[in-house]
Amino acid sequence: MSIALVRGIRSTRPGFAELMQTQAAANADTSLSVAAASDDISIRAQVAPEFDAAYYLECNEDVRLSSMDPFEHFLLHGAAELRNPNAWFDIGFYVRNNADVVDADVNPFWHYLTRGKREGRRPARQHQAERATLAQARPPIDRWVGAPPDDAHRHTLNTLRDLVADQLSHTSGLTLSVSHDRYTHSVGGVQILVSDEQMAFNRRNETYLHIAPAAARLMLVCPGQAGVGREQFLIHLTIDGIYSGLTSYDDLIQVFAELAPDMPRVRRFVVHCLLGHQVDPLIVLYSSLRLAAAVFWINDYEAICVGYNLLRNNVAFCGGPPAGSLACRICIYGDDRQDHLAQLGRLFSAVPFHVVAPSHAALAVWCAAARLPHVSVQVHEYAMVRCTAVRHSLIGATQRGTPDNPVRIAFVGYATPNKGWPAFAQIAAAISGLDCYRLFHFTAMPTEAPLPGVEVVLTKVGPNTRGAMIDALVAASIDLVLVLSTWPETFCLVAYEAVASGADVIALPESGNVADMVLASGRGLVLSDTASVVEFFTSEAAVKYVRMCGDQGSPMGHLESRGMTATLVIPDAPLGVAPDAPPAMAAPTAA
Amino acid sequence: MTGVCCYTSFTYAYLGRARTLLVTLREAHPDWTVCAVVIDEPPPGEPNAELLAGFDVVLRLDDLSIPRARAWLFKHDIVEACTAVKAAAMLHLMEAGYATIIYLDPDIAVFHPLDNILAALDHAAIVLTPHQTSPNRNFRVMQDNELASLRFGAYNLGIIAVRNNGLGRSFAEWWAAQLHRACYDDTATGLFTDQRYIDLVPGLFDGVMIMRDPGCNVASWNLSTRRLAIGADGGIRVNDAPLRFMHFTKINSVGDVMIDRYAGDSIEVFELWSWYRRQVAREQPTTIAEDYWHYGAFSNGVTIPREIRLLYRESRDHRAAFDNPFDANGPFYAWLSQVQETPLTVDAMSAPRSG
Repeated sequence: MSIALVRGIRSTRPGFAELMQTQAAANADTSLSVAAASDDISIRAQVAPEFDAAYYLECNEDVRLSSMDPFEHFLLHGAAELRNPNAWFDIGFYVRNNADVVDADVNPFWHYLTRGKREGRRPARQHQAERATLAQARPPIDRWVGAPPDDAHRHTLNTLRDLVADQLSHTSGLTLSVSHDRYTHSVGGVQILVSDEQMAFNRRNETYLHIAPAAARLMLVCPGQAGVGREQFLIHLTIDGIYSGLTSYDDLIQVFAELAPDMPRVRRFVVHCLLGHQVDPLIVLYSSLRLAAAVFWINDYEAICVGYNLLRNNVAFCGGPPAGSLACRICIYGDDRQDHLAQLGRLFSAVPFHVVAPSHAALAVWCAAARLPHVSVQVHEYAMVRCTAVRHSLIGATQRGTPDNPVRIAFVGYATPNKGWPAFAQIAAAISGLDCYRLFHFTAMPTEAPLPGVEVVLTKVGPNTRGAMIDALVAASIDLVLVLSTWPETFCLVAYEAVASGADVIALPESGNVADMVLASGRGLVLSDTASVVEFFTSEAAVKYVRMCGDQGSPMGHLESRGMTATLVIPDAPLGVAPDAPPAMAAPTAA
Repeated sequence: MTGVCCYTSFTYAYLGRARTLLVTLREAHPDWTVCAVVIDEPPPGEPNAELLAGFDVVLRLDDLSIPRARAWLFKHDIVEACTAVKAAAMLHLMEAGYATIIYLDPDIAVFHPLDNILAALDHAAIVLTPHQTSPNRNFRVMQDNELASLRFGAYNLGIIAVRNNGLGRSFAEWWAAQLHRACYDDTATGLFTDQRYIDLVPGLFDGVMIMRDPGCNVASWNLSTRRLAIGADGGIRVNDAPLRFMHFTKINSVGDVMIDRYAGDSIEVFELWSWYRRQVAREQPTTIAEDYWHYGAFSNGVTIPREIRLLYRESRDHRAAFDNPFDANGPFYAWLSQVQETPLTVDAMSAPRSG
């Protein structure tokens, strides 16, 4: 293993192809039958080094329950039954694509090792995971993601007026916050951030009024749009972290207008996510607050494309090319992007936004691709790791990476492609036979297809359990967290939680703020691609790395919110109110 | 003579593909005339005008000045029929006065404009694109590609561009004569529909330009040497040249296997493949079965097996005696019903149709 064991570096690793070039190709007589091949000593010798017994047993319960040797089973039965000999050779794919191998009636794996590889034949379908994602990719208009709950309380205009009036009677400030769902009812990065922001304002005795679309959608909504029904004009109302019920844009606009004289001097309009909302009522709501400016957070890249991760067809980072480009034409988000950008253009023209990015990586993407008018841009990080201790060789780090004390590797979060789950699955398959590792998946909900050999730890982070993920990672003594996003993450709380737990992070170069954080903090490695990550583990360089980390020690602690909008400093342009209204933005508080 | 006319030939089962070609061609060349050559009749209740909306010109079998057109058509399976009319349609469009005529297969989609084809016709009369433009070194890859070209033709007839001048017309007349005589999938006798003839064209005619631009006619048969990439500017490039048009041959069948084999590590190829599937599904009327072809059956709906087409094709007497062999009430069908060992029923005659 040639990798330099220095933390926080960008490493260039040889690719998967080199990893595969370990088995000498040999001429072979393809007229041998499977049965004959199994009796041939040289054929056994050729196949055995590449056969993964642990993988085979893991995938074949009947073999596991029998007393038969897995290698013998593969030679005598498994190959003919198209059972894979290891994680990287897809015997079914090989047979489907090589009719001559079928005609020759030989063990396909033996054929690949001795002839196919030399002849340039593929051992498995290229881009298996990405192609599965591609096959499932649908335009956002086809993906309804939720309807309002049947039992939600529906405010009348009177009850809403009374509720808001009561709030305004005893508050020193009002923030109207906009995002895509009820942040108190679901778990995720934006929800946590909104919650942090709400609590920061509440600590200052300011009211935090949050609205989310009643029927969640993955795109902006227009009256008359296909599939838009009455429920799309309803919004969830949450006040100071307590869900209040359903209302409508129109009722809220009317209540704001009626209560204008009672509005506190300090008022804000903050946008965290627009998906599922309608632009025009939001413009009116902003106007009804009579502000001079508002705040738009780059929590994702929805201001550039309705595909808010900028993953073209959900598989490749696109950088937000010009709308109408060929890249957009072939993308599932392309058809909706033009209209999406037109609506955003209306919003940003009507509302002077101070644009805030949680990282320089996010800001760079915005500056390169967003074409929206704005007042200012700046970086304001969501959170920072406050270190309170050092994790040192807690469990005998020098012995880490043994069957009794394996290196603990984790994937944290939902098992989605954009967070690198397919790459994690690939790695899990590749190291399934290595007992120097133990794999974990920390998630708020179980996946539909859990990976064999990966322990699931259900962990939910909420407003009152902000440290739950860090605690869980510490409890499992996780050494390495894999954050294998293939697009520029705007921040990625998971990476920070990993570091706060004392773990190091393994990331890819294109992961935006994750790679930047790893390089800046020296807490992990940025490897060139998934194949390099696989090799990092299969070569057991990961074991050496973790032992080195144990020797050096890893600062650990907790994650501290930086207050979001509550601590935002707007240089030379305070978020004031319109000239005919009292000042709206409190004196900014330094982070 | 002015203007460019681009035409394609298809049946209604390929309408989704042809409409995808139309949409992408309009994006690249909004000023071109687009012509549909339709060798089919719509299913009952499907109005032709609606199905073919958007095409500037529609030509049908009877528009192509083919003597005894029904009898001639009966000799062809669906692929042979759609290719056999290409030269006749080219002559028709030359007569109509277009200065440049470009044929594109219905399973092609256009991306960047075809300006290089037009530029080539400033100096040449005929533009051809070879299946392969750079050699493969691996014999197995050669078997799939170069050796297949030796059987099916060196130039892919998914595209042919011709200038409406003396040289161009001379070529079109020669090509039309060959296709009228024999446009068959019969590689044993050295024919493959309209395509093998074209191997002779650089030798027979002046003014032939062999277009080797890697952005032209990208398909499974040349992906082994062409690298597709999508840039930050949103452009799609092939070996650093703009992707002009891609040929989505045999999608959902052997084309998928070839893409699996030769797309390399390019996820972009699979993205394009996936986009094309979505696009065709969007453009194809759900009311038309994927194996629908009006001329694939006798007038009573009984499928015409290939062996009966071959029988008719190879017998001068039959061709002379039976003017409309599709007619289930006519003498050819009656004669067949008498001589067939197996009665002519829908079941007995429902052998898979070629093409």
